[in-house]
Amino acid sequence: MKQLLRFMGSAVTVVMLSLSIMPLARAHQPGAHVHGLATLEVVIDGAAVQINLDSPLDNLLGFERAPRNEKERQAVRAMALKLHQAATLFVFTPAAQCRLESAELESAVLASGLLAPAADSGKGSDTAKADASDAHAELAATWHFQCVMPQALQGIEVRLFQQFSGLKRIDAAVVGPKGQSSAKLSPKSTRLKW
Amino acid sequence: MRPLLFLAFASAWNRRATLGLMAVSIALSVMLLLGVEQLRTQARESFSQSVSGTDLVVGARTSPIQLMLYAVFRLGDATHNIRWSSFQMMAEHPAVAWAVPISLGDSHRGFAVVGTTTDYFKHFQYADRRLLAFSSGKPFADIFDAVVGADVAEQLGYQLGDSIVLNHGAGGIGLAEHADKPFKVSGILKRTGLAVDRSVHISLEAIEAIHLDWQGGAPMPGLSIPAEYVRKFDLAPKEITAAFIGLKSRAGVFQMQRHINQYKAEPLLAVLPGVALDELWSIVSIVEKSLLAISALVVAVGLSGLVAVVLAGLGERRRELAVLRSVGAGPRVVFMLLAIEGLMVVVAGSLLGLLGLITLGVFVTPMLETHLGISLAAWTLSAEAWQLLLLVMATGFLVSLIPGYRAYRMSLADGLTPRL
Repeated sequence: MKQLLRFMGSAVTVVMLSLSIMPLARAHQPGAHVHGLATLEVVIDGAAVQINLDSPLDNLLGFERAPRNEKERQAVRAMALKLHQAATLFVFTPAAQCRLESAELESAVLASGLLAPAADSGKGSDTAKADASDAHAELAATWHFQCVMPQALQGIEVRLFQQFSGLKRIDAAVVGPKGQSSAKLSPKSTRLKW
Repeated sequence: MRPLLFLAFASAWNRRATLGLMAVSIALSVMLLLGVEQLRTQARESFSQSVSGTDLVVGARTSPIQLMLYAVFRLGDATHNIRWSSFQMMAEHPAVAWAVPISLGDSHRGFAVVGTTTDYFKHFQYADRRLLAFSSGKPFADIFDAVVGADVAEQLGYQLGDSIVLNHGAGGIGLAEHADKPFKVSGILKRTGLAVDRSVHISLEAIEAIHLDWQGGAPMPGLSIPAEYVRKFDLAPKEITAAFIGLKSRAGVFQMQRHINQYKAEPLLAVLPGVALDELWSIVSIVEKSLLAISALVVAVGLSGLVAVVLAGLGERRRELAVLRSVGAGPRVVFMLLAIEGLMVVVAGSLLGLLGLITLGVFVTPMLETHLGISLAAWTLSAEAWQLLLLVMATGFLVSLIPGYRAYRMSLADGLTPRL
């Protein structure tokens, strides 16, 4: 009986662990891949704001594979630099006083070293990952913000279009204090309101 | 001012047939305009209220909008069912606060039959976090208990303890009946204005039970399992149509959505209902806008008709106006008289249109509710509708200044005996 209990205990732990790990991986099943189009998810939970961007690499970089020469490596670093400067990408209602806490970039074909905030090639690996040259590739970015006055937060101005000319449309979904909503953003309409 | 009003009214009364018809045509155009506006705003309201308390709606992989339409509003049919094991996976996930399964497909005299669990009555939220409430009775406890929505109870005259027979399939008359296993009404829900009002709720086990002795969509010949024996069978549900999910924390909703959408054992689709609804509205907004534009044009036609009628009438009224001038009415008074007349017709037409809309609403709303699941309040006008109404009246007043100006000019030029 005791053994059975212990076995069940460990089984529960394993299940719990696997369940808690699973959702963290943002690996992609084949989803829609449309050049020019990106999806943006915004969650406002109390004082914390999380923004996820999923975009074909082509929109941000112009190519969808590991960089092959120094020029292309430079382009990846420039893109990463722009994405890490979240204050120029997302402009919150000033009264809410939101600050960037952290930003993560992830892509199946780009080495993590190239995507790091300060892209010095000494740290991390910037050697190419498996070069799937004929496949499409995406980039997933996640930003975490903290707001001092979250109740003053009325909306976000999305300035991704100014920074990345390859982006033509963003399908945005917002989950906030007033419930769920969605919006289609374009270079002409860049405001998310709720 | 008062004698002026009286004079304008008396003069208009003299030509009541023409002006009355004009008022009717304005009334019809106003009715159309406000009707379109009402339908637009209230349909949105009614739809978004249905899903306000649900974080995710999960079903078989299809279009998010279609999933919403059949799972939440009972419009259209499901493409596939999902396995019970998938539902259990979701229900047991640590981020999930509650999960309610629904199983659709059967009907009762045109009303949808929803197989679910008693959690439905505990967790399903609508409008501002309101829960379903019972006007009498309680949730189903026995296999053959049914909870009916307010409209079902009202239109079919059901009371607690009544016995009802479900049909196999959706539609209406002429369907096979589950006559051997009648249900007892155990509870009647309070009115919500949602699809819930037009549903009959039974337990998932009951859905299994009534189909025990069925095969290939029909009762098996020679085999009938009496109602009292069904409890001996395994009534655990095997599949459901869709599930509503509430999360412990709003923040995890995209993560949970991804988790469900990437579930390996079965292709599932999780949608954020609010997001899917917004997508639906962005698709229908073109139709809405063109409908509004057409009805605005109809109002413009009505108002220009008014101007034409009053202008044409001026010719006949030359003598009348000349007499007024001779007894001391200034050209300004003549101008005012005409303006008042126009305003009177526009206001009368608008009010008539409003009245017509409300009367029409009383007759049409129940029909819309049964067929489309949209509940409309006939009485309440949205702020935008009031604005439109005021806009129509203001425009009407402005255009009726045109004949006023004509009359003013004429009364200056004409003598006491105008050549007719």
